Amino acid sequence: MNTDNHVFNLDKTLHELKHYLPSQKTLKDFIHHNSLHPFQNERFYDGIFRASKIFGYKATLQLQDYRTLFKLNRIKEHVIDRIIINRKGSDALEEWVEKVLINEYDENIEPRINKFRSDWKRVYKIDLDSLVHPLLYRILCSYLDQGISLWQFPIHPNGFLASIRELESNSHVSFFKTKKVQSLLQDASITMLDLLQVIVGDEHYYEQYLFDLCFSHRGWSGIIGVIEDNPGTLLIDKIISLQDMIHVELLMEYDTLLDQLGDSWKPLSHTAQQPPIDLFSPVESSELEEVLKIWQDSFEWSYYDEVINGIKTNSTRQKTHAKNISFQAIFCIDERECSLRRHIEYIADDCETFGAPGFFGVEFYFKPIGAKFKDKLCPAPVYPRYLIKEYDAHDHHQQDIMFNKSIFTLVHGFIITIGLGLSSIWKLLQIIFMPKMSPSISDAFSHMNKYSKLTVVNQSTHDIEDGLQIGFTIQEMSDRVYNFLKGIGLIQSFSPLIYIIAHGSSSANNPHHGAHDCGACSGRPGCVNARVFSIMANHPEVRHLLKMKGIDIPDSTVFIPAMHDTASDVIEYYDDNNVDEHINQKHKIIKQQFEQALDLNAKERSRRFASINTLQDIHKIRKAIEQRSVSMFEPRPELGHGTNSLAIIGRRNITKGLYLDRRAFLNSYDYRTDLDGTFLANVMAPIGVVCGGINLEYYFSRVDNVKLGCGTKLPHNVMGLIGVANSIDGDLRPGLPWQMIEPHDPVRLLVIVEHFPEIVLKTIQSSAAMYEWYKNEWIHIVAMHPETQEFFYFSKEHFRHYHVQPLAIKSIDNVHHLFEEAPEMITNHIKHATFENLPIYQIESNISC
Amino acid sequence: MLILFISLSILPILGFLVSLIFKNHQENQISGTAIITTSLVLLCSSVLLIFFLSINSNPISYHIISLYKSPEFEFSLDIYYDLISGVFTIVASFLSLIISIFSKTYMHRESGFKRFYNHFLLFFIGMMILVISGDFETLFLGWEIIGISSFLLISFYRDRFLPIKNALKVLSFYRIGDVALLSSVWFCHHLFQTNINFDAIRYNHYAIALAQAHPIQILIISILLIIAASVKSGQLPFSIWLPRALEGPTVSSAIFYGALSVHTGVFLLLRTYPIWQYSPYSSWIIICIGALTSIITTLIAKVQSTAKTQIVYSSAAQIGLIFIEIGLGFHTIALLHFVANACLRTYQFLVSPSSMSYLIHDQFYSYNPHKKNPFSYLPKSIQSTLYLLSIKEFNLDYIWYRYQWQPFKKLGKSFHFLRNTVSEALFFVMMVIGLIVYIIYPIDGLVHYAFISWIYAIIALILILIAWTERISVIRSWMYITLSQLFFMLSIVQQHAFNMVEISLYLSGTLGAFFIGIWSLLKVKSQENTISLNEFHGHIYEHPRYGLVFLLSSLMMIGFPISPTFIGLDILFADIEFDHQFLLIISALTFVILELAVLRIYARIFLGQHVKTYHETAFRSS
Repeated sequence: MNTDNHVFNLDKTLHELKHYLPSQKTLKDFIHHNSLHPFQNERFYDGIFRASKIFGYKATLQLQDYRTLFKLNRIKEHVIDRIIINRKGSDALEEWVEKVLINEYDENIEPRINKFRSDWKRVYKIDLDSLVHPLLYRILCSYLDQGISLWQFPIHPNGFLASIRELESNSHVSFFKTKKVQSLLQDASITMLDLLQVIVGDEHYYEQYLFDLCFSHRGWSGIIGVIEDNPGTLLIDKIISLQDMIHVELLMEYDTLLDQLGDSWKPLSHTAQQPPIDLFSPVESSELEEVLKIWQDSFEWSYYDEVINGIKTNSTRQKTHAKNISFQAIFCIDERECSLRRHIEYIADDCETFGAPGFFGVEFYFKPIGAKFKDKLCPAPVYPRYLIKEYDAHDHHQQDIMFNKSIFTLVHGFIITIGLGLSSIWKLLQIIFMPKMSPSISDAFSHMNKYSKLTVVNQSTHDIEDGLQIGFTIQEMSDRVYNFLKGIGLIQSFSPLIYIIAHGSSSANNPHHGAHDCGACSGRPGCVNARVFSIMANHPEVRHLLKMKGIDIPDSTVFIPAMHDTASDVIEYYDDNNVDEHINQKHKIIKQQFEQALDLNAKERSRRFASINTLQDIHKIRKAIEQRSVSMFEPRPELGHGTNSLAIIGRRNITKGLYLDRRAFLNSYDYRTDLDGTFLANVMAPIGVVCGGINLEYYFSRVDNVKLGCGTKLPHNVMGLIGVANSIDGDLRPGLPWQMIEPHDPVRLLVIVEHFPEIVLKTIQSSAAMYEWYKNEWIHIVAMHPETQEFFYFSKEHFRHYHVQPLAIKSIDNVHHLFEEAPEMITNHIKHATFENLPIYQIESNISC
Repeated sequence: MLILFISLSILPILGFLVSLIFKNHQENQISGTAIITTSLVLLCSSVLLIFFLSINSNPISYHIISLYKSPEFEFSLDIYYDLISGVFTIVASFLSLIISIFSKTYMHRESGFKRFYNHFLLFFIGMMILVISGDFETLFLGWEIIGISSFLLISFYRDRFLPIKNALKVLSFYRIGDVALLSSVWFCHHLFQTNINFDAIRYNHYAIALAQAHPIQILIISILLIIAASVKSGQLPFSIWLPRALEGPTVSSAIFYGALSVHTGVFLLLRTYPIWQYSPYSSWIIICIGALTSIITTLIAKVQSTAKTQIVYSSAAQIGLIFIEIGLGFHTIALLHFVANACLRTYQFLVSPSSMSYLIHDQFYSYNPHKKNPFSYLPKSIQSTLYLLSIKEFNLDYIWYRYQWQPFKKLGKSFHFLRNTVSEALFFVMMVIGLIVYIIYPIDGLVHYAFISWIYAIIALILILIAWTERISVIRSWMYITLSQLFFMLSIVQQHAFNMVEISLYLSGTLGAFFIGIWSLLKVKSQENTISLNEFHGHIYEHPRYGLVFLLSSLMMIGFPISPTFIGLDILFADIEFDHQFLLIISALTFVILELAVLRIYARIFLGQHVKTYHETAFRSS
């Protein structure tokens, strides 16, 4: 950005605006991403502190909080010393210890944004925002509405501005109060530049004014930029651009100024006190920032050291190898499956588990029976060429009379109000005393009919719908299965039953339910992917091709798809009724084992839920967990990705038997099958964008929940089915709600890869986009040398040997005690909340491999 | 039986007091208190209703206590119970029970968990007092408590700008209703020459005859009552406050604006039916307001694209229909309609966050791109006009802002030349002289100089306008408020027999409030660089205690029923002579602005976005 340009460049400014505005899509497509991604091309601390100085975000915890964590021994003294020595040299240790622990600093932030446009208030005592925003939001929301209103905005095919013009020209009244602006609206020769000239005046201030304007309601500006670039994020197409929005907003501002001030005002640049500022010019760094960096690093490494120690100790432990593997289960890498894997391994000590991104390497769009639209089921940046259709089952769409729109009309409404009103007495009692599944609850299992069939196998490559090929050819299928199995290192010793376990989440009264579903499936339940993958892997011709490529799956081996509901802790199995009797017997036993594992999983989760007593009978806990997911009054059906902090890529061997407290994304990978790292690049590709995105979204929503998160859920109002806002006049709120981030410790993701450092380096450098995450330290990465078990930490573009400070890792022999005695936070302040996150333990009983 | 009645109001008060003693993290104790309170009240109400039905539904009334008695005026607490009270007590306690259970989990770990339950129980006290009140004074007591608890719950998220802005806006509408109600009480008092006891009014033949003899007065009383009811029930032209009140947690929106608070207008109309029925026009006015509201708010509801506003506007439309039913005399249907509407809207509010997943799912399967809009049969220009008007809420927000509040603000600012030490001293001297003269000379000698009391009243109004529009000095504003209150008192005592008790009741409240308020303001001022009235400061973040103390002093200042001012105020109002309508109008205006000015100070100093940014502060627009 260069304000010395003599000509204001509208396109460039619009482009930059879109770059810096929030980029969260509509809530139905909830995909986690780095909330400060515009700054990702800078080093982590430079980026976040710059963002803070420009836009006023809080980028770290408060100094006071870190110091409290230190007093509580959550941040370790020796780690602080080490970080200071690394950053400042050992000579400066004493000086910096004092700064870090004792000195007082002014932590107030005075951002650059809105320094200029706020002059309206300073000079003319007029609160433009209060006078313009409510109507603007209402118009935008009505225009974009996806199905709340009974009377839709009359849409003109040319987009937002054209629709407003048409509506105004047909109407006897106007959105605008002054005749002058009414005619300006209809005048197609008036451009945004003309409006800027009357409102702002001096061209040099345009860019600053537009940034101030768009960031005065960053939620709406952001979503409009996103819709402009990704129209597909709306179910029902609406054409809108940021430029149109600004055009209308400037007209409304002009109108308000004329109405309130008459002629007694001048363009804003005439009264400016300062020359135009370049928002993005370099910022000065401060000592406070240095101190915060030391604290944040120390907070992170106080935890990481423990993890690295744990893994080191664990991977050298003697483990017995089960001779006959009874079954294998492949889960999503999601850190919520980390505990279920631990439990099933405990219950069935002859099983083997794997982790891989939950779309299981198959990317496609899915169209259920009777649906008017299709869903994308793969990571967000992927644009599939395939369509999977559901057939041969009944429509699974149920309606809820309480959401019938006639309630909102007058005459029908009268009759319905009396009728439904009296029955709602019963409904009220029911949602409180007998919560149960109903059509108004978002049910992960309703995504697909359990008994339907899927068009997985392509009949002819000419079979095209909406430009997408229906199903996959044999070759395409075998490629996907091959790559997938190779990626997780499962190329031999196939057991008779292999479970492909997707996950989804059911929750009631939760506009953010998409954030709990599978991130690798674009925020949707992954059951279809599990089924599609299993159908492929069970296909005889696919098996044949795999065999030719060197993966020999025995004919007796069956892949069984399933889905784990991470909120209700229920597993549903698919396509399991046509298997051999012999296999079926085993399947029945395994299902029982999974039930026991789910009981344990429910118990483990219940320790964080105040409403469930962890000491009661385990079956009661399970029941309570299930009920929780259908309770309207429960704003925390589950805790989502809260507490995530690790991504471990390697064999299960190194983490098996280690208690990681559901904080680790676990991706299976066997360096032995991929010594030169060919497949590692594929495995690593989603780690930054998916796991890093999740982690940083949680980080920022935690450290500044009210600016970068969306605040507490409780006053939220659903806006046009695209987002939430506080009450009716509020701006759209991107980010995560308080209820999701409470237990989260804001630490960056630590990626641990079990491979030779040089291979890991080569891999992360193989793509610039991937490398940026690590190079700029938005994610930490450590390579674990598979032969020496030494650790190498990546910083300043090199892997360097990391001297692990030896720490004793405690062992436990009974997880029940652990869950029952774990502390529960008194308040959700970090000083209490962080103690819900337990240390790393070794679990003594039942280690096998 | 009396004990049951008393427990209806005593239990909520006890519950409220008990809920104050716990700490915020003692969630089980706090919510438990609310659940026990509401369920006990539900039990009592059920027993009462059964008993009432078993005695052939004859209304029951009790006189509890006289708080103040003089030859002309009696401030007493009375109970009156009939089918209307029965239905309202049951519905209110049932829904409150539902909400207190629902909130236990819903509000879990909210930093204002305790505050929520405190305010909720305060509201519950008000609601219970209102629905079993036996006279206007008791009714007004409940009415005021509901109003203040509404304000407190709308501004529940007190560290953000919009809740505070909207809480003040809603309050400004509520004040219209409060003053309309108070004025109608005043008229009644003078017309019937006695306190209005709901039991007596039904059989008092003398009163009926009197009413028939004074059709104009009765009409005015009816209109005032209808205004009060329309304000509280979100009827036209006041409807626009309703969506703006939805700033609190969903549960409080459900109970206040879905279920109970919004139906208090309906209750008022049903309860005062014996009064307004004597005016032939009032039924028609009620029917017209109801019809107009139901048509217009239905239109507005149809274009709403957010879940909660859609519910609240269609609820206003149904209440419009209830008004029509009341106007037509179908009171039982109105009651039934109330029960249905209250329960339905509560349910809809509670599940409103579900609309996201439900409706997206629904669209996924049933979207019809060719669906016509509901008025496609009308000419295009009419359609567009109606659509645009509905989006703009028929311009009502703008009209109120521009033609109601802005002129008053301008008026207030035009008196700003009086903001200096000289005129302040002058006012003070005037006030003291007024008092001395009043005490030295027997009132009978002065009673003929009615204009003196007018002058005092006008000064009171000017002072309060200045206080309300003051942008800089908070101390000055607070001082002007107090002075205004004193002048208000002077103007009224000027025309009435000297009564030291009345004056001291009033004075003790006002002066007490003044000193407590000034203490807490000075405390905050000494620790902070700036406390001006130009912006919101959010000092409650660092000074919650001073904030609470100042809130209490504010409530005392405005005559909230925690201070003797409340009784004093009622008496003073009653003391305005019947032929001094001008004085009444001036006093009513002063009274409207008083509360706005006082709570504006509270809001500007203690609420809103914190001026310090070392911790997370929300964007102004969020």
